[in-house]
Amino acid sequence: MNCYFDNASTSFPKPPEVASRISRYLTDEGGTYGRAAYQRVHEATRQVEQCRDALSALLGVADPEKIAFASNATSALNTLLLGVSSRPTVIWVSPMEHNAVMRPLWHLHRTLGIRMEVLPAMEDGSIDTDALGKLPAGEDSLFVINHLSNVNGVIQPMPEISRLATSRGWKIILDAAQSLGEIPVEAITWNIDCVAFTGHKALMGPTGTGGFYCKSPQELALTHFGGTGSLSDSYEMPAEMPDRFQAGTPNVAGIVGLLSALENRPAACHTPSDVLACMRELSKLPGIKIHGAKQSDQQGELFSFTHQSQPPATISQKLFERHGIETRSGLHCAPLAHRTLGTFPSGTVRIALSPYHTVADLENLIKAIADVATN
Amino acid sequence: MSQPTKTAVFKTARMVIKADNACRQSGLAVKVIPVPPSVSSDCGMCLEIAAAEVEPFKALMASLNIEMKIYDNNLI
Repeated sequence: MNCYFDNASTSFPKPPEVASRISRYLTDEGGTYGRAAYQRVHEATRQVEQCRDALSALLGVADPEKIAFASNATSALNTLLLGVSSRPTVIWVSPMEHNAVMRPLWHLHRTLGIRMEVLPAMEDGSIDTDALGKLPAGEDSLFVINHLSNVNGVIQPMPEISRLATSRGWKIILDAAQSLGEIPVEAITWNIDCVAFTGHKALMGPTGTGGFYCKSPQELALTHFGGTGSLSDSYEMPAEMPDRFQAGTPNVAGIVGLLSALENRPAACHTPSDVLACMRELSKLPGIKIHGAKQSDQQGELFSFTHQSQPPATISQKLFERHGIETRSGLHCAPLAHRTLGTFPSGTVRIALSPYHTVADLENLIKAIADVATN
Repeated sequence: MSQPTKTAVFKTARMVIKADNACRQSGLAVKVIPVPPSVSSDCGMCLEIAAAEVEPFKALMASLNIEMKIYDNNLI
């Protein structure tokens, strides 16, 4: 029985090929990225670039050079948000933002006085596109959108949001930390300026991997400096991508593992309908309130719940001690999302699936929650 | 390579890999070598190519929008 329901923190298990691929690199292959010409370095460099190509295809991006690796989505978001060189008048955020966005933005607000506003939204945090269309078009605005909430799994209506933003000249940074690998992310089709992603959640790769795509990287100010193996006679960072944003040795072991995850993604052992059915069953339990998307087609593979009298941490602990079920309780580093949902400050218990979960695993989860909710 | 060769130097390691892959798929024989010190102080890699195949190599690089510079090895 798969009792791990904390895949929004990090996916587990990984496809078995990920560990074997990393082990092969660490044990037999080795080699750094692009700093020499012997076979070991050539092969390591080739695999890093193969991973960049695979990510590019996944993002619908024609220029893989515009994808830079980072240690995680938070690091990528810091590079993107702190590097916005043409300072916008106002930065609009979705009501479901994670602190990976809110803390860098708060820093910009405190140090540069940039105004932050929360986009109009529905009760479940889904951006209200009707209200969005009425926002003033004249302001120099940047939108930061959490694509798939790490709290209730709501998926933002990106095609409509991007259509409105594009027509008004607003720029969009998309936080795809939870979405890339689970649902389509169409950076070009949606005319997204930047996308930040991580490798260890829905992509099912190792921790320490991630990165970003930037449509116009030359407009992004540098926040990191260092050796790239290119233009080594200069103290200036290279202008060319990806080197411009690749100071220092990349996480080659992690990136080859991520490549293996991309090449060996398991077929889902359940359907989206199974997840919705699980949520419906849980909502029938006494004292349980489900926090998910109102529209079923906007529901990702994670959701939260609260109990009318037991705190989330108590429920989570009981689930683990009695049934071995692993969940994350609290604010999930997303206080804004919890304020939006009315679950601040105690938070929720989060259920985050992976493709490996079966219907039997979901039935086991329902029984376990029924037990802890009533005893 | 025993025949006369030239050296193609690129701006990034990614471009070297992209060019190397494209050459292999097109049947052009290339070899990954260190960047000659007389060309650049880069610590990275570049490609060595038979002088006789420089023109198809250039055409292939142009078709892929891969920027590079070619150096005569006898001048390096």
